[in-house]
Amino acid sequence: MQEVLVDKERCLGCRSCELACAVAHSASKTLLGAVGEAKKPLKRIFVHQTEAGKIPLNCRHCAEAPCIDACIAGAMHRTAEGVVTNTGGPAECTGCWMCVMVCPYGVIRSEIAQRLAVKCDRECLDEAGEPACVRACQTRALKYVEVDDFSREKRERFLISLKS
Amino acid sequence: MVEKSIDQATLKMLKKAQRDGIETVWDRLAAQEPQCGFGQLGICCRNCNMGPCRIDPFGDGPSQGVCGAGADTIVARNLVRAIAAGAAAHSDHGRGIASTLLASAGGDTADYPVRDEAKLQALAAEYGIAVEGRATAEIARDLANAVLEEFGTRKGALQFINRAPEQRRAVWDKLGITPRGIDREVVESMHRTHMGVDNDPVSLILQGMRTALSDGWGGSIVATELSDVLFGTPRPVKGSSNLGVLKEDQVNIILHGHEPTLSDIIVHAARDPELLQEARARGAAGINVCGMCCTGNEILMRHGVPVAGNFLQQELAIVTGAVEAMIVDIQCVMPALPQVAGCYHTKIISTSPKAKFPGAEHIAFDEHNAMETAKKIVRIAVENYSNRRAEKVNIPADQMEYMAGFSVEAILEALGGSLNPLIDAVKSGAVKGIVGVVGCNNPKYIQDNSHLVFVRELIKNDILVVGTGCAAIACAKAGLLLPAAAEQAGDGLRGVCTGLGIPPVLHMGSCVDISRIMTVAAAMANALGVDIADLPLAGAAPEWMSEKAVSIGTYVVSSGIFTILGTVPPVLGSQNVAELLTGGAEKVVGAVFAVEENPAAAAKLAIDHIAAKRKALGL
Amino acid sequence: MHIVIIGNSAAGLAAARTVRKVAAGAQITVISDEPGPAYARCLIPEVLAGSRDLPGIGYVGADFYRQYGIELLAGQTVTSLDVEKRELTTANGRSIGYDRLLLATGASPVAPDWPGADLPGVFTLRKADQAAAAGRWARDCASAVVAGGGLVSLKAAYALKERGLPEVTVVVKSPHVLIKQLDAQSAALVEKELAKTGIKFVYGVEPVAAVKGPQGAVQAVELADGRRLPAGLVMVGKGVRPNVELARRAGGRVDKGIVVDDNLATSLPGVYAAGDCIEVTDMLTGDKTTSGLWTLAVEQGRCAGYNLAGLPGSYPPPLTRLNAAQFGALPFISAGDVRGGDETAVYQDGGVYRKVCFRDGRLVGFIMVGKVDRAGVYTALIKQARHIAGRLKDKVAGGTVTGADIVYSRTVPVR
Repeated sequence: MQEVLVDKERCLGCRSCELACAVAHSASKTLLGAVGEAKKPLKRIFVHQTEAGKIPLNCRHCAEAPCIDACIAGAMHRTAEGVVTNTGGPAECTGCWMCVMVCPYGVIRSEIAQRLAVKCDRECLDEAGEPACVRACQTRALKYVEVDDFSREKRERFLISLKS
Repeated sequence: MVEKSIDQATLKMLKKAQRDGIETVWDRLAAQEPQCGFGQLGICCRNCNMGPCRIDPFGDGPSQGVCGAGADTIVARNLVRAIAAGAAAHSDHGRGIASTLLASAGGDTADYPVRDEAKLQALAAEYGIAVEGRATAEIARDLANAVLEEFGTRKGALQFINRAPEQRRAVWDKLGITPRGIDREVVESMHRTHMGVDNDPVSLILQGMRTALSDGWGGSIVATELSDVLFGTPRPVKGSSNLGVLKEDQVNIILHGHEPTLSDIIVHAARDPELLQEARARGAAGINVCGMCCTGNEILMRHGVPVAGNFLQQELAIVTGAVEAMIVDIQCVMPALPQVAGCYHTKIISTSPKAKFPGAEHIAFDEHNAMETAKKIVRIAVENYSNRRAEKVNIPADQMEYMAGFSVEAILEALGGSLNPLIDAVKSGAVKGIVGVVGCNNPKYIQDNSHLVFVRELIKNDILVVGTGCAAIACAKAGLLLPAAAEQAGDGLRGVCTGLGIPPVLHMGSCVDISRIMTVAAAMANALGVDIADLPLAGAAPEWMSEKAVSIGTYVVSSGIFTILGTVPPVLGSQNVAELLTGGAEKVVGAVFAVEENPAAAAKLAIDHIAAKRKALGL
Repeated sequence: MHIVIIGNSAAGLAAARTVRKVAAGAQITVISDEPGPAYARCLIPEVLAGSRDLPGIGYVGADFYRQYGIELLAGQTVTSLDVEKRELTTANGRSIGYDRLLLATGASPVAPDWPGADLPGVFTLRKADQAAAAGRWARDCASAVVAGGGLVSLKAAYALKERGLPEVTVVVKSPHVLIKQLDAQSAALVEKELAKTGIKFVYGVEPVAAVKGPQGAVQAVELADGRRLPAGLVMVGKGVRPNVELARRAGGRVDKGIVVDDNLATSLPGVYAAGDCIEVTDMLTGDKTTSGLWTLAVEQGRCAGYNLAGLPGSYPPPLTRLNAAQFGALPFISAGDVRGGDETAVYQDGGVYRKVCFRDGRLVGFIMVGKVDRAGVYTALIKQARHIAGRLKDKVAGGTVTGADIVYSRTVPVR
């Protein structure tokens, strides 16, 4: 499947991906409309400052996703397209935060009042099938590409490293 | 490519540009997209080096910059800085003209005689300068000095604000926004927006208004009025417009930028027999001087010089392959020009010590050796004709006649010496009101489309349109500056235009000449004994892009005139600032901004506004 | 190949799914002593509260078993296991052969040993039908006593309040609620949030008897200190015990739970075990302990699934203390060792509390109350067991560490 990959050398920390993500999840789908909306849209990508530089991070849609394992409600699931999401599945999210507790990337938000875990759901693809964050990236630090086995393996090794 | 322009010449040249492998402003816009949302909303701040900072517009991240400034402060500061930059541009332009007048009066240059003595005397009288029995040069010197003094004056207020009706001046005084000095307001705006100075959005915006007023009732008026003194006050004149004015068999020179100082001389230099001889010797039938943007407007207004196009056509003029030289001075000259010119034989010649362009040839121009420099530049163009490559030439046939030159004086003359016939027409409802349509092109919007849809809708509804800048050139290219365009007007306006033999859209000059519109508005208010805010007037900048437009819009609103912006200003990151500009300002200055990207809807706003103002006046 | 799975919850289902994924042709039978399709066990307090019915906590789609080609034998208890013949027998006498078997038999609540524990109106909360029954019973009650201060007990108390019982008292033997997950400060925040609903708390004492009323049902609870609390309903939350009998009777090794090796194989040939019924090694302490977490059960089920399908895979010692919940408007997450450690960093501001615990320069536990975003990064740091120092340590202690800090860290994780 296609994944959002980060070329961290290229990220300038402009946060355009964050804005684009929030706008794509707004009612109006436009920046100027979204800023006026009573219910502010929520971004699902986060630009972080680390020792290694600026890094945009969103859900990796892990092959063996800890959030799916942890979901006690059965809401978190993988769609036929490979997207890990807690909406539109066999059950509704109850806001138990088990997914938040286990996501090593820290990219699942806890909307406490709504009792809703909010995450990258790929409900943001444009006509060309590109996610809003990737489209917004001026420097191509974010790329939406078919992931080769090597990269996927590298990611899985990281996850396995968490299993002690 | 329909989405880029409605101008056929533009579309043809864009196709040629593509064939020739030329990147234009539209390509660069596409490369910039998506543009930064923080910038679009006005919530990024680079004013100090603790930053750069930005505010999360969705309340989902930082709500304050490092210094503690929130969205309201940052948006207001950025807006005030844009106003200051715009006001500085117009005012520095005005200072240049005043300096030229001083040089002329001091005998330092023979190339700039006073061409309008009546206007010189009228302005001198306005400044309380004695005129009786004095030589022109003496009056000119005193006037130039008095005007130059306005930039740093300590007398408390600018002279030209006295043109505004008393009621309006009272509003400014009450708010403490009467401009005190042209330079001072810009300096104070820069000071106040420095880290840790003025952080209150209301206070900041009031200073922004004062700064803008120092442009509209200061720098811009200076530029207009002294240009008239030096180069002649425009009178109705005819000419043609659009890229079709370029001639395949002549040396084509395009004058681009904003000032009349060099361009006016070049118009004369190009008539030099020796240079014409040289041109013929190289196989050209003549020397064809054309304008572009507001420099184009300056020479169009005074000499009927053909205008090759507006802002978005500057690169495309070069793409015709038929331009020997593009001579540029200041403002709105794309830094991309030398790159585009590099693919053709065109020489880009920069002339202002304030504006240099990597890749362009720089020939410093100053008023002391004006004609000499002008001839030198024309000669370069003539010589360059030999380098023209026929296979690269493709001039679109599109051109349109225009009638322009509607200075305040020209309008008064057309009306028979007084504004009364116009005021009567407004009273009778034959003319419902007047809307100033001004401003730029912006590649984010279809070139000229907003201008034309808006203007056509207004004249259809018996609203007289007065235009300047690139908006006026858009109207010229569409034939709206011809008396025959009155056919497109409503019955009332058509009758008035036909009776006077004028077009329904009056070209009043370059962007500094919006001061002419303010002068007319003030005169109408004075004639009726009301405030400008009471008049059935509106302003619009349907395709604006520059900081000058921000200053213009702000001084127009601060002068009491409802103003519609057709492109969204970067203020939506602060609901408070946006609300102040579009709502709260009404109670303060008697006018607000409206933002409407759809030109038909914008026209409706203007029409409704004028109807409301008429009703309030009992008309 | 016929794979039989006893248990239709977290571990059993994860195993069945995995087998289907990697062994498309395998025959899969799932046997469950509970009726109907799988449900979200952790959500049964909502059934007690009456906010959802049984279908409302369904864990899989209606079509799941057909779609995955799983034969579900619901409502059938396996009574014996013949590992020689690779055959099991159900309570209704049915014999079922298998090639490989998974015991995902789960755990059962610890029943109270005090007098009156078997009275009508005394419940435990483990299965959906218990929750439904307790909910029905609660309709006629004005008061309830919940024995125990663990997560299930508090969820039950909260549910009973939601159901509208005027008086709900939680009797906690420990000095504060959630003794396994929280410290005193954080527990106080949770208690305060629960108290807002009217729930009362009694600490440091245990019930010693359920008192019979005139109708023959429970009417009060007697505490060790002699106090009597009125109780039309008693909910006992004294933890759970792994269901090991089937394995034990078949001769399998059993200690704290069914003993399994790295591949989750029991001592019985062809028999694997996963989920709440097994014994695991805690990754932090190295101690043998019961498992008992939904997320671990899923992990184990998947691991067992691979092994059942003939693809060997090992299951490393897990982090066995890991929980999240929300009461009212207060979320909290606790992971690892939250009271041990040689260095802690505590932050509290009103209803927001965070504590991170280090031992030997490694993160070993944390508590987050009020704000829980990015808790998973902390969990990951515990699991990575890497040395944390310098700016990373500041970020961890200060609550600002992000996934990017660990994914793209220059520091190589150490074991």
